[in-house]
Amino acid sequence: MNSSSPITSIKTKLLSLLVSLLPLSIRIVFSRAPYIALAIGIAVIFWIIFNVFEQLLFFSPIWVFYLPEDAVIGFILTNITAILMGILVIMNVYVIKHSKLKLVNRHFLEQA
Amino acid sequence: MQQQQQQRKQQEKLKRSNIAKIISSSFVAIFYLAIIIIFSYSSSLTSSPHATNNYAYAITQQNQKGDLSLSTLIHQGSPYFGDPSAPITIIDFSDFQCYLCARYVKATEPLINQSYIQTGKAALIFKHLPNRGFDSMDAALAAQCINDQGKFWQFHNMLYDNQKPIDSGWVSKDNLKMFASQIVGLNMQQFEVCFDSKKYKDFIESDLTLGSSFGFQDTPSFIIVNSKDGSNPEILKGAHPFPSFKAIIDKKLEEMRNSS
Repeated sequence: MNSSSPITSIKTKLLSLLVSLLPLSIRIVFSRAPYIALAIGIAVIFWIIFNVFEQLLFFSPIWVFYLPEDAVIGFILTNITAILMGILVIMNVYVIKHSKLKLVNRHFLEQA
Repeated sequence: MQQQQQQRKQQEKLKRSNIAKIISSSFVAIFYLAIIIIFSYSSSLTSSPHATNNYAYAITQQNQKGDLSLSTLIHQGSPYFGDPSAPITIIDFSDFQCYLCARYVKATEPLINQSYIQTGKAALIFKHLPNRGFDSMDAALAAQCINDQGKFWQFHNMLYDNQKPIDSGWVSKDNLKMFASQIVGLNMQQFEVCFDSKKYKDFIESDLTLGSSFGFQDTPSFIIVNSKDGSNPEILKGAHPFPSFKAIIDKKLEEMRNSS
């Protein structure tokens, strides 16, 4: 009857799968202390980079951070981005480290 | 069979340890890269001739560019604010279209004004560095024409308060005249003659040359010098907060106190 119904059902299934899998994957990765530490480290590095480029953080002539009114929205966005970068990078590291798939140069050459 | 299994296990262990090594080394590489980027960027934002051991070079450049003493800068016609006999001069290279300049004007300049300019410790000189957009030169020309009638800072604050995206037309010739007409007591006829004839084009180009000779490409950029002879220049690039200025000015005042 409705041609778009199979697609929408697949979409909803995928979405529900994502909703259930995402917290689970986060729980698996962040149940280990080294991953939490590394994620924080990466988030901090990105936070510093973003804020230096936004001219909110200066190292010379003195170390100083300031937040003028016009930069508040940008600062909130960079904080969110830095945290998400920490989570994203470390989850990828977990996947690479625990993947059973072996990436060998030969495979790429064969495909080419 | 057992030997083959052991070999496989050993190979897997080796592979795992290799992956761990690759991951950890890539982390170290990312970390060092980030540190290098941050420090190279921050050092480009702030460079003191003393800190970079380029003091002699800076002095030579300064001598080639001319006198940066407060009296000379005022005599040349640069807009200034504060006591002409103040011991420290802050030379501000800005563009009216630059949003970081607006940030400096709104967040930092009032604190400098309150702590150092009103107390007679420092004076502020404005230099034009109109390199953000096509309309920047017109804004600089208009501001310099208004300086003829002693209303520069009113116009300066008005433009930064009404700042819009670069080259969006907010500082078109007509809009600049409209902004000027809002200044109480300004002789519009005199302003329009000055603005339309581009009277200060050479003056602004000399400011641009001075700024680029100090390596200023981004705005705002600052040179903080001793007012008397324009010596001991300290350079700040970027919209630094008040504590950065405070650190440099207090250091200079301390040096002056010790030498006298």
